[in-house]
Amino acid sequence: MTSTLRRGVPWVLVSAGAAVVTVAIAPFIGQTPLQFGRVFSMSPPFADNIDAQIFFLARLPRSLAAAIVGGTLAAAGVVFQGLLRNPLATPYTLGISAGASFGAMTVITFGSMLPVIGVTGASLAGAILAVMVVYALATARHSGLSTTVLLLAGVTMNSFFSALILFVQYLSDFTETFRALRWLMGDLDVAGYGPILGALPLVLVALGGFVWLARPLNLLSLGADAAATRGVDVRRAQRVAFFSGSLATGAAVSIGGPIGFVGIIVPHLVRLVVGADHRLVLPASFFFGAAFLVVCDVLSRIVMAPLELPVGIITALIGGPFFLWMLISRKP
Amino acid sequence: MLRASDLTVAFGAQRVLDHVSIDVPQGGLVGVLGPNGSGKTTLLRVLAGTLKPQSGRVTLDEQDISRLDRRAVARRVAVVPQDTHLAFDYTVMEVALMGRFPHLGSFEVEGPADLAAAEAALEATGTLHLAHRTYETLSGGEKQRVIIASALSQLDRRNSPDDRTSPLLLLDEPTAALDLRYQVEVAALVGRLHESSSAAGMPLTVVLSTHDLHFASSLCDTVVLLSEGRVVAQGPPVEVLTVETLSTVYGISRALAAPLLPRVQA
Repeated sequence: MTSTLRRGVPWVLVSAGAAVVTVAIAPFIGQTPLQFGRVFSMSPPFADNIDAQIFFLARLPRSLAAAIVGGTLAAAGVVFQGLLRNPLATPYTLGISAGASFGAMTVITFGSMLPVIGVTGASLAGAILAVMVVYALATARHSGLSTTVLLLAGVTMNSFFSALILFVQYLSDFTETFRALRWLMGDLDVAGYGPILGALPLVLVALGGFVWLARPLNLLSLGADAAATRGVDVRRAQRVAFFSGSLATGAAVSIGGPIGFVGIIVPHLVRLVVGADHRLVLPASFFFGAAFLVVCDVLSRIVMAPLELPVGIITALIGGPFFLWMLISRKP
Repeated sequence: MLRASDLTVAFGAQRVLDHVSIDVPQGGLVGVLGPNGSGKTTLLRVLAGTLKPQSGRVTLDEQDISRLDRRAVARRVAVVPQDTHLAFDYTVMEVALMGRFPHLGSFEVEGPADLAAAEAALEATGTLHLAHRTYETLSGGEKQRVIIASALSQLDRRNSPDDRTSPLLLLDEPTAALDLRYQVEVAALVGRLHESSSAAGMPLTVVLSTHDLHFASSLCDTVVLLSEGRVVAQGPPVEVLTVETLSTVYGISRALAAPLLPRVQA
């Protein structure tokens, strides 16, 4: 084991601890104060225990959803960054979240006409559609994507899918438009555990792919050719990365809408602490991303209480300036 | 040991390699020379097996390299590209350990033997004292030596001592991006590695491309002169690097070509 790896492992454990603690504490914060004793009290039956009901049926699913979405988006960010050799690549900046949103929006709006595929399936399909474009770009450029190409591709994809989303909205009626708009801002107001359970299989497969990718991504930092000469099956690594990246994005977007900037803030901060090795950056980003989005969601519920802001507004307010700062301070 | 026969590579309509055949003997030190765009880098990529030729084939000990397992090839053939940029801040030690990839299983973590191989490689290139620095903070010459160390750690056989096949190192213009001092340093390093490997009974075979005629003629036992994707001449430096070949290949007058010739032959 390398010394960097040995030094990094405690940080992964710390970030995992932070994720667990924030998920457990977040449900206690909110409009209606909950008492720890009452939530876990067995004496009144669950049906009569309001505190327990709020905790388990309303706030815990939300806190878990935030953790899963945050962790998945952060880890997907790491994978796209490693694959495209650019720390500015994320599902959001590449337009993959927008593709997934378009898929999900279509089903939310015309759900009654398309009952078979569901929001999760549709956002996955949208993510795959967008990823295929990025894949074509990445394979055409052997040495990775320059920041210019990456940002231009992202801008193009985002405006393309925005146009499609607006088109879908135009066709829908007024009440649906309001609901959809709120969803498009990135919102974790999930109703129960259903959306989480629906997306969980996708998330688990994606995470399995990410685990396998950790070491090939290290080698890909040298460039595709150099990685191949060191024995990496580059094409397979690219395919696993793109496929698991789309699964992750599709799943996250189906739960919370296109929440931006988690995939860029979290991996960047994690790298400052644990270094560049993807075997550390991936798990630490997953856990830290989970904790980060749970905290952002708590903020979104309390800053303008009783009004609940969509969490996407909070992450964008933090992430926008952060992204610009990265763009300015980055070596050319 | 490494043989390329009748390689042709075209990118679109442009033919980059045109029926190129070369033969690299075990323990040999072969220099590939030629003007910009003559196909040197492409030839090295085909020899490494990362680029498939449209026709012709590359064999490693009589076996077609494109049919061999990528990881098995990587344990024998290491490549040092022209210049290497890393997308993230890896430490020098981590870069050296990247060479251990083909020696490890999918989920295996580097063991003491891998660390020892990486340390030995850094030691051999005089970069062990930089082990904990991040790669991007190094100077050009240091970076190049670290990448060479990564290639050496890749060829290190301490995990499989029974493997007696001869390792092969491909270097693409290892001195091109460097100033004079580092050019000399890296050239000396390559010569030293080649010599010490023969002394150790495990001769290292080296193929390098370069623009530096002195480097090529003082170090290499064979040179291959490429022009517009064709082999113009190959053989010992004294025979290949003549006023005639240089003036034709580089398109310069004989009077200009003469002083370019390495001093040994003048």
